[in-house]
Amino acid sequence: MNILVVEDDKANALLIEKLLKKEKYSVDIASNTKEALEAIDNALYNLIILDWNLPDGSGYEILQETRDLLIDSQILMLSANSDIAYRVKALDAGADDYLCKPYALVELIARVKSLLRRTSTNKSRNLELGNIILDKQSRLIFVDNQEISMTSAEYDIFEAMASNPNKTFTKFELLNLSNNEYGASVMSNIVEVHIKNIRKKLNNKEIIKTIRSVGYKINISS
Amino acid sequence: MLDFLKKSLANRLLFSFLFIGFLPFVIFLVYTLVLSETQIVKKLIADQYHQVSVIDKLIDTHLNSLSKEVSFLSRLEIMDDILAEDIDKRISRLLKQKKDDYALDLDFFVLNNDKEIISSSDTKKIDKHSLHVEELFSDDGKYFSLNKLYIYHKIYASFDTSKHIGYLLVEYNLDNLNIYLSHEDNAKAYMYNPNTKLFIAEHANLQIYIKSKKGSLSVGKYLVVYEKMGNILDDWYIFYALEKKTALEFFYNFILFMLYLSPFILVLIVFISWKFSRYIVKPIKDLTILTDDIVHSKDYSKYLDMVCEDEIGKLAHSFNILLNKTDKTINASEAKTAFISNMSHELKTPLNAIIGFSQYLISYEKLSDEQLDIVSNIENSSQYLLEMIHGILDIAKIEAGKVDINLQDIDISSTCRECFTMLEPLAQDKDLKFEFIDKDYNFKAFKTDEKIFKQILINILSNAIKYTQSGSVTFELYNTKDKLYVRVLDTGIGIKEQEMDKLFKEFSRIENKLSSKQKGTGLGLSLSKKLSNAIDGDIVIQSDGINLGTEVIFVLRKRD
Repeated sequence: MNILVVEDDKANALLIEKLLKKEKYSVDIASNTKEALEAIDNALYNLIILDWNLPDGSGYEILQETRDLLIDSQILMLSANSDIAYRVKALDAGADDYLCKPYALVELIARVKSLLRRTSTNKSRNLELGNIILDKQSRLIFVDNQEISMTSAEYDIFEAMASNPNKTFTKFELLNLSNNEYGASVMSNIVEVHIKNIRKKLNNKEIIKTIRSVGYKINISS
Repeated sequence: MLDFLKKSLANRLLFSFLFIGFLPFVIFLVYTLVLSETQIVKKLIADQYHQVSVIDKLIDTHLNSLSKEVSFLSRLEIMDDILAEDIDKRISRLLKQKKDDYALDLDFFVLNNDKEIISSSDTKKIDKHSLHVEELFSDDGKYFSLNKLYIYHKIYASFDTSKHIGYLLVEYNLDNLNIYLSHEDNAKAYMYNPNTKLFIAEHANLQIYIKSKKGSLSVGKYLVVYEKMGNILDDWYIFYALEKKTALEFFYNFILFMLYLSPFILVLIVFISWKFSRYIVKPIKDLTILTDDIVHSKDYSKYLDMVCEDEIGKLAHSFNILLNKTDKTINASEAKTAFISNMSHELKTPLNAIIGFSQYLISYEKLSDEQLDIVSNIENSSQYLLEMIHGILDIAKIEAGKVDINLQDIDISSTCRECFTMLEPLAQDKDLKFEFIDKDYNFKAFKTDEKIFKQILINILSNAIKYTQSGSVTFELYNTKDKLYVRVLDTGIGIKEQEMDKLFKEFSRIENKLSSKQKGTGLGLSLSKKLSNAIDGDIVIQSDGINLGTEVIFVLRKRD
């Protein structure tokens, strides 16, 4: 899977590169419009991650040009602007997804995976963690084949953690998964409450480990 | 009707002008119709009296001069001829001469002491009885017989003035006075003697009862004035009868003319009033159109191009100065907003890397506990910084009036319940009684911006939970005819009265034991208040004091 990351900010480019490589993707970096168009011209990418603001133009222009060239790579737009108008503009011009900065890494990964799945036959499937089964399609959780009722926020948190076992999630990362519109300070301790509830509902205190003062992770010893 | 006047200066002016135009016209018409006739009649009567007195004076002068003539003749030396033999020749010639001079129906006679006619202007008239000489007395004087007036003077001898030798008498036919009386069809003057019932000149055959020396009355189609005559004709009255129709003809014609003219005058008044009110209001209207245009287009760089030098011109000038200042202020404010917005976006990119790398390290690198702690602090602080940037951006947007407000009918009960459910775990975690009392479960559709409504509600509810250590947080939804209320009542730490005005200020956080443990940007409540205003609502906070709980009321006006 080839991914082109068009991002002028070196730190962010490096972050995405490291992240995607960790997920075993092959990554090229372009830091301006010229490099990006050259790269698109020279190679075939499954996914192009485009930053909106570039020193010599905009990701939007690259998006348009790519679509004009009838290149059907998946395109994920990144922007610091969360205005609906921008999102609509990008999606109308042929972007497949749009992510606002700052984003949680787990969300970026999830979206990248989701976009790449569209082109492959890699459909979502059930996740199994010991006696716990996660049905991703119908958003249901079973413990010992008994359905457990969870709130939407609780499910989102648990699914993200179960899909990325052994990864430590910060509270903010988890918060962003469910509600990111209402202010972090207002909601930061709600994650603790959700985790507490998930543990209670699963009747399993061990599955989600607390990393003190940092966050949580699901431990699976292979 | 009144609204029609209240809402338009032009209409008010129009009505004022109509009033000003109609009032004098109506007063003039009424005055003419009701009062003028009386006034005109009065004037006519005065004129008639004047006529009468002129006639009286003329007649009096005429008869006096006749009397003087008689007196003069009686003193002539020639009268001594009465005593002579050829008596009639010289005197007769003189008397005839005088009669011819007068050219009137009159005759002079000279009588001797025996009252026998000695000479006359008309030689045929020698019958002394026809002269009614029995009326002659010793003194000079006059007497009447039917329509004849007799004036006489005693004659004394010139050589001996104590010697009475005869009389000089003039027989004057009163019909002679006709020449002084008017004989027009519509105005007749005549004389009348009530004792003898004699008339002189053509009379109008009117039934008149004389009550005093003078008077005026309306008889039939005539306006009649009478006055007793003086001196010689003291038994007689002069009458002056004026045909009313003729006298008032001009007046009636004028009234008729005014009535025919009135529709045109009314139309003219309406037209002039309309024109004039439009003319006065036009500059104001122009000004209104221009200001409306500026308000709607929000283009404050425009200016009012008013050339007039009157009050409107001055107003336009002042308005232009204001516009200029507003434009500068708005430009400055827009520049500030743009700066904040750009800065915030620029901050987000490096912040994204900081947060991202922190999360990357936490997630993928095997860090020691101490390292984890440090990186986690970096991530934590970055998140607060990010939240603050979001808050500042939101406030800048509201202040620039650029908040996207997406109004739609939302199910208010279920939206509230959603927020309640979202925050319920927080309250449960603190063992607080968290209650949602939906008094309006049947109140489904309410037009507002769902996202903003939720953001405000979550801020209020989470604050209530955050600042309540024990007890309850009660959340009520109810509505009145034109407003929707969300009331959040907690048993938390409350607010000091003197801290109340700090509540809605940006970056101000009320310090107390509990709040020092709480994290926050100090923007939440200020932002909520501004957002509530942006969606036609408000937030009111009340507290009885420290540890006495807080009541927050979020009120929204209903839209049509």
